[in-house]
Amino acid sequence: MIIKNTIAALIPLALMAGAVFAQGEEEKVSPAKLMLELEEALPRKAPETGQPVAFAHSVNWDKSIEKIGFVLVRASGTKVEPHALFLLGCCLFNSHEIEQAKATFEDLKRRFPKHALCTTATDQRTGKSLVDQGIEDCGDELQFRAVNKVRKLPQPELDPASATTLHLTAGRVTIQFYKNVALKHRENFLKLASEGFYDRTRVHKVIPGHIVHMGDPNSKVRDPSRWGKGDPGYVIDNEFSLVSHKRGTITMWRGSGRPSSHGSQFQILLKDQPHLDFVQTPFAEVVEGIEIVETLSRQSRNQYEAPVVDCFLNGITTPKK
Amino acid sequence: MTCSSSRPLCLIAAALLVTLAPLPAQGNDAADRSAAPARAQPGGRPSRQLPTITKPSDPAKIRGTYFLSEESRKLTEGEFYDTYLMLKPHEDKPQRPLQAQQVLEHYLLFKEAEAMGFGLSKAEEDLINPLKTKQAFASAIKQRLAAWKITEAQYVQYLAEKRAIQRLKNWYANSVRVRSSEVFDIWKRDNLLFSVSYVEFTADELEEDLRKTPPTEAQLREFYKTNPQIQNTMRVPTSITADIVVFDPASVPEAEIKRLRGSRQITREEALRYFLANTNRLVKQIPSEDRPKLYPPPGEAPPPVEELVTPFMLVRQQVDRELILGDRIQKAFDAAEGAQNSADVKAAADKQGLQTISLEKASRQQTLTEYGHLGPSLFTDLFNAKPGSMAVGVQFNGKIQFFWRLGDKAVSSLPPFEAVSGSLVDPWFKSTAYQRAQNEAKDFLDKVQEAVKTVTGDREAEIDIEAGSKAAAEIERQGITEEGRMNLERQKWRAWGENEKRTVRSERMPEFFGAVVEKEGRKLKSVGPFSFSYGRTNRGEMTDMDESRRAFLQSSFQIKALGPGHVSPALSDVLTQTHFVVKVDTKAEPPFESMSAVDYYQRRMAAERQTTFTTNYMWTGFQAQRRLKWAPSK
Repeated sequence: MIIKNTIAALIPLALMAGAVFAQGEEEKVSPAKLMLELEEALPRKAPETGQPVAFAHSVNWDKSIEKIGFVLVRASGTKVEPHALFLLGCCLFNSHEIEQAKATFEDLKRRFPKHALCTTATDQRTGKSLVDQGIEDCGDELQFRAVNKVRKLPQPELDPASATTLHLTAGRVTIQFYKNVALKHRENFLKLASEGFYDRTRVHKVIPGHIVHMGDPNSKVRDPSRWGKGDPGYVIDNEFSLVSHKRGTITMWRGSGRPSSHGSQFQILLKDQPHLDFVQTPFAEVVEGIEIVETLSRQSRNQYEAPVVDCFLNGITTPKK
Repeated sequence: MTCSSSRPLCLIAAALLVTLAPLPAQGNDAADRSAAPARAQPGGRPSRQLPTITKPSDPAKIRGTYFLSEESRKLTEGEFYDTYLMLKPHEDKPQRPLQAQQVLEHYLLFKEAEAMGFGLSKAEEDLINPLKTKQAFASAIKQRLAAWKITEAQYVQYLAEKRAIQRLKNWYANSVRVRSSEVFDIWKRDNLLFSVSYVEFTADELEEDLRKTPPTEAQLREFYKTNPQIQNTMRVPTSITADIVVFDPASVPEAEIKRLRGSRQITREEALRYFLANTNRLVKQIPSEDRPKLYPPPGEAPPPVEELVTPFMLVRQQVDRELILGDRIQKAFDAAEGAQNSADVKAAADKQGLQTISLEKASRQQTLTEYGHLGPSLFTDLFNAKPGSMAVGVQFNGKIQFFWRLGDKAVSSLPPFEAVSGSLVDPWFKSTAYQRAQNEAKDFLDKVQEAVKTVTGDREAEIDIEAGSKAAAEIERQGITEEGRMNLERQKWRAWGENEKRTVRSERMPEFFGAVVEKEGRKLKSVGPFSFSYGRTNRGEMTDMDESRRAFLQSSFQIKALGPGHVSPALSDVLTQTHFVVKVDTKAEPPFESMSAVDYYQRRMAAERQTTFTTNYMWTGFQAQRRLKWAPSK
């Protein structure tokens, strides 16, 4: 928030100092380099065909605003400036800074009325120019928010003090929980770990390069036909958050058609899987040992998708209180 | 500078050369391809050749027109061919030759990107030109360009155009926003608050009455003949009759093994030969607790050489057992071959001290449940064999060894009525009561509609006349003379009329609903306000039937589709054996405050997944043709 406000405050300063920059600083910061830097700072890249674009909730908008703002300050007076203003406005909108977004778009339109972003580059749905559409969206949003309070979810933060080690046959994996989201899932996991519930359970399902699935008490017994069907006797309510399912995320399995999280079975993801956002509850992340999990996922599997060579979760070392 | 001292640069160079397009295969030029003979198909027909792109005889000829910045522009054959030549070295693959459509899409997308100000300046081109930014690889790149027969300028033009198109797509991907009002619209559609009144028609009440008179034989016969559900419960499943001789080496006591081992020495070479011939099966039998011995944990010091183990060492005991005992079942199998009946098989097994399992008309379920340790495909293998035949050899499932002889098999069948008539009475009562309750519900609904028609009948007749005259007017306006098209038009207006009549009836229905309930002496119940909750409640676990009925109503798609005041058709719930006729009292939008933060983000994500959202950022070449109104020349 401090960074966003700082950047927002810097915009008029940058604009006023535009002439100074334009004259004296071209050799140091060429518009060409600034444009490439702006492209690098984009929070979203257009995906290959068939791939989804990054969902808004999974993007770190504050970081993007900081980067774009930095480009904007140096781009004043160059042809990069309108592009930077436009992208800054887009980021501010998605970061819930609607008034600042509107001000940015309006400033862009006032100062560069003939620019392509204000004329020929149009919104596919409405036919209006991108900047006009941005102004309209901001106006609509402000009107809506004047009457309705839009609630935000907290940004998730990892808790280094919660470092926990999973002792797999294949090696040790260290994970950290979040300090402000999925707290019931964290509590449940640690309780089961301290009771020895997970000891000598197997990794009972792997999909190479995608997930490693474990936590089933049935997997203590050598009968693969029963693996995946065990539970501790209860389920946990979902605790969705802004944590996006990325490589290294540990998420509580839900199973198709179930309304709540499973009580004990969890998955370690080896690939970004945003389609699981707001479907399963992520509650921890792997901070060390992801390569061990990756190797484990690529072992030969039997017809139950379990590794042919058994991999046990021999124990879990929880942080000392 | 040696490769070892500049390892990172060497890796980058390798990556760069890999990412540059491979050299086109010899004979892959369009001209060569067009001259190549067609590949012969069975039957002598040549395979379908894709159209090739050749150099135009008249470069100034117009290939087509498009609109950009409200101006009509032309694309000449020469410009098209130049674009093709620029793309060819990078995008023409032996398995997927570059098509005219791809060239056109690239051209249009680039023109669009340029017009929107996303084109690259000379300075930007220099910054992305690897010949200028990666001097160390300049000569390698130049060699590659020479092999492709293109100039540096053409290469840079390709990079710049691709970059401009990507920039356009990226800008749009970042410009898409979902407004909170859109999120709320999506959420409230699934969370509208309903209050409904309803009448129940339960089978239980009717069943009590029905049981006073037992069904006749004719009624039971008809029921058995026409009811597929009752047939499924009575059906005799597919079955097999077989003998299976089973041997589990692990069941032989160690003392017996020691005794046999005395007379049978197994050398290491013999054991190893056997292991190599059965490696896959034996390795899977290594006990879990022993497996870690094969894979010492990473990061830890390796164990001393004398402590290292191999899979052969871990299964040696199993191998010895199988060798000592192995020919036992093989002898039994050899003796049982050609067996004429079950007794022969048993005799052969007894001689070797082996167990025989006799299956007598065993179903698939029974076989899987009781003999699952012989493998999941046992029943299928037996059913697919001919009666009287034996397994092709000794089978293995883990450590267990077995073979079988199929005696007989029977496909699933429906028993004759006489055999099951006694079991049909109760289901008949239940089914008949359920059906009668449904008929009562439909009768009730008909009465409501008849009552409504007493006031809407005139208006409905007017609508019918209006529909007819509108159809006639439309036929005359369009000058339709063909009978088929005239009928279509009339049908269209009849459908309009039916819709109008439904609306008129729905508006008056609530007034008569209550009156008919009272006249029929029915009990009117109500529930609400509630929001639609399909899939959120597990009705199977509910013991309170009234609660289960309410849950049914709260998750009914048919009620969700109704408007305020509308009456539903007769709705049937199999779980509670109840039918309902429902009237929606109120249907209101939920307040925004009742939407949680999680709901907000969930729905926003749902909006981002929608087609309109993706259309806005995908910005494909195919869409460019539509946007720019591409029109090929005839």
